[in-house]
Amino acid sequence: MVDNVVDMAHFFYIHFAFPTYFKNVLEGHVATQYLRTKARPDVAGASNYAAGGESTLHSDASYFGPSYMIDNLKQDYQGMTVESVLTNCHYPVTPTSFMLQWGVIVRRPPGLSDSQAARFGSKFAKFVGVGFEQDVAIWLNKTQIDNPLLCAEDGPVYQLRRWYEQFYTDVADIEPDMVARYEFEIDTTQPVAGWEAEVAGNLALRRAAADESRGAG
Amino acid sequence: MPAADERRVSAQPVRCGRCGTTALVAKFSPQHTSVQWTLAAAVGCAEFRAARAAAGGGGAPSEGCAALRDSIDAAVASGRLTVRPPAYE
Repeated sequence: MVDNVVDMAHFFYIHFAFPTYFKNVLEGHVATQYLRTKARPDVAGASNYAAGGESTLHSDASYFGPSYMIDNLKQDYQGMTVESVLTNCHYPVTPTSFMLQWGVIVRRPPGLSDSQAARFGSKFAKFVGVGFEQDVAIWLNKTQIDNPLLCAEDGPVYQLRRWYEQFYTDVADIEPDMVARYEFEIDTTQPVAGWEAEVAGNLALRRAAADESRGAG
Repeated sequence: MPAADERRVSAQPVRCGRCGTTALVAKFSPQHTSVQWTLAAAVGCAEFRAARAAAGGGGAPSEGCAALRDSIDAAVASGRLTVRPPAYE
C-alpha cells in the first residue's frame, strides 16, 4: 500500500487527473509526496482529482511512520479554493489482510449558513472519499512484488522500501540510508503532453460517435 | 533483506553554491532528478536550517532546497553532472 506514495503515473489512470508536479521526499520517519494535478476533461466530476472544468488540486501527503498518512489538500475549482485533510491509517490484522480506516475534514468556506456548510462539507468529503477509494480498489487487488523491474522514469520504490525497513528494525540498528534525506523529482511536462493527446483523441472519438448517432437518428 | 534495485545508478556529488553542502545527485533524463543527502548534509543545509527554525520542528520535511536545485541545473548545463539513464547489467 505504501508504494502508492511514489507512483506518479497512477494519477492519470486511477484518479483521472494529469499530474502536473510530482516530488517525493523521504527523511527520518516521514515519507512525503508533493503533488499538483489538473482534472482530465474526458472524465469529469468523478472525484476530487477529476472535478471537471478547470479544477486543480494541490496535495501534500505524508506518511508519519509505516501506517499513518495525513494528506493536506487544496482544491481550486471555478475560482473557489477548498481546503481539506484526508487522514488514513492501515495495519495488518492477518498475514493476508489489513484494517484500513480513513476520514476527511473540510475547512468551512466563508459566507455559508450552518446548514449550507454541513451540506457542503458532507458532499465535499464524499468527493474526496471517491478519490481515495480509487486507490482502495487497487489495494484490494494487488500483491507485493519484492523485486520489481523499474524503468528510468519509475518512482523510488526501492528507496521507499528501504525507508520502510526502519520500522521493522531495532532503533539501535537503524542504518543511515533508511533515514537520510532522499528526494525524487520528475518533471511531468512530457508525459502530460502525451496524456493530453490521448485525452484529446478520446474526446474526438466521443464527438464523432455523438455526431454519428445524431445522423442516424 | 529486501531485493535490490537491478538498475545501476551513477550518482555524482554536487556542491551547493549557497552554503557549500554536498549531496549525491543522479539525473536519468533532463526530467528526472534524485538527490541523496547524508544526515550531516541535511542538517547543514542553510535553507533547511531556516525552514526548520520557521516550522519549529515536526511536520513534513522541506520540499527542497532551491539553491541546491540551481546548483544541479548549473552542473548539468556546464557538463559537470552527466545526464544518464541507469544501466541494467
